[in-house]
Amino acid sequence: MTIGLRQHSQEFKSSLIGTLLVSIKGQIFIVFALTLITVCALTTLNFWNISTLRQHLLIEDRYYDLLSNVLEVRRYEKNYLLYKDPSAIREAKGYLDKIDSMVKELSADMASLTDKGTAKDFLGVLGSYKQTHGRDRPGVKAVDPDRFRHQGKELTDSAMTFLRLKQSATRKAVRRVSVLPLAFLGAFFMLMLLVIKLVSMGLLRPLKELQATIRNVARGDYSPADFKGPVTAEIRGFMEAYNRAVVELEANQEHLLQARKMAALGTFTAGIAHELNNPLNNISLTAEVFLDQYSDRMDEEERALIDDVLTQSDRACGIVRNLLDFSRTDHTLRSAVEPGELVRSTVALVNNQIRLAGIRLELAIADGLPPVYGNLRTLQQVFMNLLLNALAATPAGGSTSIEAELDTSGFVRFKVRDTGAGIEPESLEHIFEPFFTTKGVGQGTGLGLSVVYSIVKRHGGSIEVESRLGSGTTFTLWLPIVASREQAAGEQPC
Amino acid sequence: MAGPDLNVSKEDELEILILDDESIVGQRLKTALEKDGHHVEVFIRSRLAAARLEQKEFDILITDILMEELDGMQILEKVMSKSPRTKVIVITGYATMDLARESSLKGAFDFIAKPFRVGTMRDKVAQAAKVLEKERAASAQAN
Repeated sequence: MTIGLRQHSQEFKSSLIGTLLVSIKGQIFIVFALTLITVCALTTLNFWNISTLRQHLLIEDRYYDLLSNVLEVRRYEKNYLLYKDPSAIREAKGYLDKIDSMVKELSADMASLTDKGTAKDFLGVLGSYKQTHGRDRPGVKAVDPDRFRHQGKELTDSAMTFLRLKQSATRKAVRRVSVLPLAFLGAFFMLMLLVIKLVSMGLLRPLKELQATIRNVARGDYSPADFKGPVTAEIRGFMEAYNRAVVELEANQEHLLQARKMAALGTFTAGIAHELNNPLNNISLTAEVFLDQYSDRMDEEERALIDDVLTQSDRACGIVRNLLDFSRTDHTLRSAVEPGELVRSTVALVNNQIRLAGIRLELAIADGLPPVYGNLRTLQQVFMNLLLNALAATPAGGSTSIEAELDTSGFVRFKVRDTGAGIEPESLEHIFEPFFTTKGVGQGTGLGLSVVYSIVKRHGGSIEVESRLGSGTTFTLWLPIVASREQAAGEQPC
Repeated sequence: MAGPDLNVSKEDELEILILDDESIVGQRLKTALEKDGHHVEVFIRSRLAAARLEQKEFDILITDILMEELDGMQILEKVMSKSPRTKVIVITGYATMDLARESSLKGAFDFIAKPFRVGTMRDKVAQAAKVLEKERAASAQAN
């Protein structure tokens, strides 16, 4: 349990650091934290350096004093040796005491300046010099001047050496203090480099790529943004949002294009259908009246010929009717239609064909579906066309299904599924266009689905198709449910 | 094609005016309806038809909707105001629900969308004849 917890907290920590490292915010935070730490350390170092320098300078003064005291003592030493003036020894005593206290004060520094041995040596020399001084008392053997001088010189040399050493230590400290601003400069420079690098890698380069990608959108290229290389969390979030927007935009654009295309086709087919309507009517009327007038005088073959004219004009009339159904923009009377009844009544119309084709049809109508708002007859045509297509696509022994369930936002969703051969992806986008057919020549007019599309659109619904080669096709349609009491009350034009 | 009642006696003969700018429609319907024993006048230009309708009261008017000069709706309105007993059958190549509703509101007897069969027209004429017959009987009783 404890281990688990620790692991968990480690994971949490590493994920936190990970998040910090991959986001611009985190990177900037880290860089500034590092800089702050560096600057703090440098400032502390600087403060320490300056105080050390001050210490050095103070101690250096003490060494000067030491040297001048030593020189003073030597002056008395000279007086004593040259003029044999005993008072000189007494005078020198005061200075020696001063030197003593100074040496006591400086002994630690001396040891640090050189090594303990040298400092001890100095103490030794001082001690023996003092002894020599102290000897000049009545009744004591006279001092050996050469030894005295030699000891004095040693003392002077040592004091001077210490001073020199101290001076060089001070110079070193001064150098150290003067180097620090350069360190500040260096730290600042590194910070700048890091920030520039982070900004250019994390922001500018991805932004530049995105700019190029977005420019492509204006040219109609909706490919998603894909930036190779490390991407910060902010840029990734932006890219994801952008990619989502692009997908939506493309889908909307496609819907819009599809709607415009269908509208243009509708106008076009309506024009053709209306233009063909009169001549077709004339042909069928003429053939009919001809048969009516002259059939008694015609033989079998002649009657068959006129029958052919009638049949073919009927066929053409059927196509024109379908075209008009597709291009129709007027509204039929609409009322509340029960989804279950709609599906079952349509199935009843094609039941025979289903049985003949040897195909299983499954119905899955959800319970308690609200009625949709539409025209029963035209909606039956929708499901009939879809069912007939499904039957044609499904081999004997296969199955088709119709599902109906409540979708969100006031629509009932219907799915008409077959387990047929499926539709080629490149055909899918044309499937609702009039005269587009995947059936062989003479097997279909290519108007069934365009009529379906037109009717569904006129009902304020929508239709989508999904297909996988080899596994079947699913048409999904959404029909609006009855929205108001007036709609539910009865038939209404819309 | 349902077989229409072809045994029209002399008193069942109806006065029919057909107006369609497609001349073939008029000619064919004339042939067919005359065979049924009706008296048919055919017009291609709506203004001429309107003038004729001013002169004479017809039992049945068969008219197209979309025409130059006067359109079918105007003809329908004129006839309904002058001779309400005339049964008007509207035919059109632009069959829309709105058009059907409008013509029925304006008093049209029926509405046929092109393309149609002669048999359909015969049925409508026969229905109109029946209604006319009933009305005649009712008015005779009232008198």
